[in-house]
Amino acid sequence: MFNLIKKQKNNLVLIIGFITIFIIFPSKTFAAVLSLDFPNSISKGQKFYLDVLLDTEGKSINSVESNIIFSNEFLTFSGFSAKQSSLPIWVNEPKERNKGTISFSGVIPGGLDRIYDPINPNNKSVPIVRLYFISKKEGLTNIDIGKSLVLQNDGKGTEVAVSVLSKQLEVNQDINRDGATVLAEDTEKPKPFTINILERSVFGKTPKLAVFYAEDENGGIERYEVSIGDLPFEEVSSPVALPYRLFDYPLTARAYDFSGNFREQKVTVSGDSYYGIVTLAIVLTIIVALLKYRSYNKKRKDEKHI
Amino acid sequence: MYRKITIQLVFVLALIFPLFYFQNASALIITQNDNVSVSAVVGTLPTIDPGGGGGGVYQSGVRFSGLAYPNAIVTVQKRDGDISTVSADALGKFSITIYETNWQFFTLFATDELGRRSTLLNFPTVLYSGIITDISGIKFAPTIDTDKIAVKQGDFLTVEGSALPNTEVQIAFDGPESKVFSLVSNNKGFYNVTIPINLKQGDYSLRASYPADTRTSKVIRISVGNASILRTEATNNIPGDCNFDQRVTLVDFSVLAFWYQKSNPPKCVDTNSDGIINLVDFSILAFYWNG
Repeated sequence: MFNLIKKQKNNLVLIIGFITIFIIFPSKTFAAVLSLDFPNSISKGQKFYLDVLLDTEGKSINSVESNIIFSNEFLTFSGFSAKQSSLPIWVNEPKERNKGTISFSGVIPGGLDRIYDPINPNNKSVPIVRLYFISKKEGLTNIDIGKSLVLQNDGKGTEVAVSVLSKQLEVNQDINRDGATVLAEDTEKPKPFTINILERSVFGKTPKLAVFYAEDENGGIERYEVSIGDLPFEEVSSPVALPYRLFDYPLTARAYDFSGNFREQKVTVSGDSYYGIVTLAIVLTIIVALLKYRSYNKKRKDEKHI
Repeated sequence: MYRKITIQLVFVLALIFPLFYFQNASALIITQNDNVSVSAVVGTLPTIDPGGGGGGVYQSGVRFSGLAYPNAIVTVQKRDGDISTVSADALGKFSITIYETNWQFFTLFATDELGRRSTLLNFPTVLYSGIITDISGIKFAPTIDTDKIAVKQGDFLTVEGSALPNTEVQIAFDGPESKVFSLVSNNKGFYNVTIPINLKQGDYSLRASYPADTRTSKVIRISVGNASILRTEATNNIPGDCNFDQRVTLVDFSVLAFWYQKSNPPKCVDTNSDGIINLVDFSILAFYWNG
């Protein structure tokens, strides 16, 4: 009995020891830190920006996915800046996919591990993306970082532990209060872009694709619309699967920014002659076979009559 | 009693601390640009408006300098696609200044005399008015190429590439077993070695690097088995290379993007073969990106 109590005490000491270690040293273990940078207070009706920052703690990372949660009662999402972003390639451009949640994801070929700041060498936070908002109601509101994923540049996509730092914003009645930047109205169209057509490989599963990525200087691309042939425009995301057509047809793509300005580009998609020839050959074979069958039947009937 | 507890606590600490330090050590291993330094240089560029009078305003920009390969072309690409290039000298030294006023995301890569590309190095850089951000000590890892993508056990594999002249290069095989071969590049920076492959059967990744340098070349995948396949006969051995051109580019990204979160994807886009197309597949594609 005494031995049993002693053993339990020993186990307890071990457990307490482990817990103590993890309480004392949690911040020392590796975790990337996602944080938000924006003015503490802004005026009602003002357009301002928020930078999503990532401190990789020196580890090379190449993929980021995150959700920024805000109150629609206080703020309206009005775009993003691709230029002020460290994600050269978007998997999902920043968009309010669910009300009050802006989600985005992107990749960095080659990876990144730090920022290069000659004046502030202690600055370790890399701006991942700049998001624009317009304040619409006075009061205090939270802007939070939701579910986020950061992956290492290790060829395996190893997940990195992420800790997040959210922040509070004060919206007040004062006009042009210090600390907030007044941003001009965006009347510029998105930049001209190209539409590339990726041909379907004969044995591949992937269909023929139209690929386009537009950029907008002031507020990012909000959505794409496409018209195939003479059909009406439909909202799509690039790349777009193209239908098989025997003959050439026009494809028009429109890239809209968050202010409603749009840029239109047009290409002619060549018809799928290979599939056309195959289809024609099959149809001709069927017709020839039917004709032969008909004449064979006729011949047999004639022979019976004789 | 207290003595025993203290001893046990010390024992627990002794167990935990090596783990803790190992965790931090592994974080250091893949640090990308550990020898690169950044500093500010004021007033070294000509004024924006030389005729303006009043002492003038100095331009802001960034100067990248370091080592590539003899006569390599070093390319600096901005986030918006603007490209600048500079040739390295016969010793592989390069220096290039880019005028820029705002924050910028720069990507650098070097192309050797035979068109082989280095891995990409990214520099998210803060720029200040009138100041040159001086980023020095950049050292591109050697380039690498092989003559085969599959090697029969006992057959030979030729590995070649470019590095700094007369410099030791290490070729590391990682797979079912790990091996490192060392060699020295010639005075023109080329290296070429034919290695007898007596490794266990399986898939290996191959990289070239300088000793004690964490940066490595692009990763080449080879398999060791019952047959040798020349690289020229290759179809696809790079994860995500869906058009089988031995390059991972925006075209492959677009194919992957089409299959994102769709079911029943083709094998070439499912880079980790888990049947799901998610951010992990994009991360693997970004790692092998060489377009």
